[in-house]
Amino acid sequence: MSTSEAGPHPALTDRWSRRRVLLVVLCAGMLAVGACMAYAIDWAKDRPKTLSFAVAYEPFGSRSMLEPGNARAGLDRLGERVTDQHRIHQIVLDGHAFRINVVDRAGRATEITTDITGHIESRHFSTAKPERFDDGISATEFTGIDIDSVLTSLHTLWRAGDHQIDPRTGRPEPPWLTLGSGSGYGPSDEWTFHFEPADSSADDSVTVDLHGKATR
Amino acid sequence: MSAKNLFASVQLVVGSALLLAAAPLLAWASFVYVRGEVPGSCGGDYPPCPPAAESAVGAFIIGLFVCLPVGALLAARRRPEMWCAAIALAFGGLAAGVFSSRFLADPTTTHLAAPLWFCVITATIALVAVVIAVILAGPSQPHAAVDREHPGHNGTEL
Repeated sequence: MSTSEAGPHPALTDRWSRRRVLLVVLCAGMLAVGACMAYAIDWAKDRPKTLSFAVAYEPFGSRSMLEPGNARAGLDRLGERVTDQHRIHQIVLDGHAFRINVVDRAGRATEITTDITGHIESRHFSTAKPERFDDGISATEFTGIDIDSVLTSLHTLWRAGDHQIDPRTGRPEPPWLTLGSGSGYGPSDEWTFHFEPADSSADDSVTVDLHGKATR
Repeated sequence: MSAKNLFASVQLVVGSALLLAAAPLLAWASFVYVRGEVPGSCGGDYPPCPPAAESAVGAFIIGLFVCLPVGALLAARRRPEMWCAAIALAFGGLAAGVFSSRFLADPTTTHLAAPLWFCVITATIALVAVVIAVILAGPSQPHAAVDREHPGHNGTEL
């Protein structure tokens, strides 16, 4: 590249050639590191550790299952797993996962969980006192839940609440939701909204009906 | 271009390419390590390794013990400033990895002092190395003098 015989100032030409090579190497290194870090950050965003931090930071943020779009997608994924042979007995939703407990006619119980990455997991379990098939709700009723308006009003309620602080993040503890009151009763028509109050002796739950109306 | 010239050019290009590979390898290794995804012991009788742990350890070994020294040796044979460029790329990669991991991918508010100081120190070393490299590559080099005295024989510069 250095053509010292061509130019009038061979030393100058030579100097620029050396500098240019050096700068090209340094700039290319910066670009390579930048591209690698962009890839790394993208890779990290769905890692469990990042998700747990993201949810602790913004319980209703884009990486949280409590974000209406994510909750809707999770609800639809879970709905596809529930056949006519199943009834849903309990629904639990928090920033990390959307979980339902289903029971079939024979009384066999299954817990189905999905997270924001689209991962879905089923686990059979047995209980001392099986739920009754007829007490649960069907897949059609489940996918008909207006999760968007429930989450919107819960977000408002949660922001107004007085919460315990997560020492890792310095942020309020994220909330979680349940629908269904446990063994023998089947899902109710009310969500129960839980969070850790700053005063632990206080009542920690608020119930919200399926249209988003809250009662303490 | 003589065979000797060609050989020197190939050395410089290959050496620079190795240095360029070392920087992102070290950045990836420090990114994953700072996330705490490289446990002291995993696999076999221990819990399974996180998916990135092996790649981070491999990137660190290849980057630090292969790409960086071999690249610097090759590139710096005729270009002493490439030693400084190698240091700048290595420390810059480490700083970028720690910064991205701790402040961009997992933004936390606790235990910030150590990674912050690490980033500041490594980035400063990288910057100083860049300045020294630019000065070394600048004028008043022996090669430039040689070139002026022997215009027809421009050494082994690219």
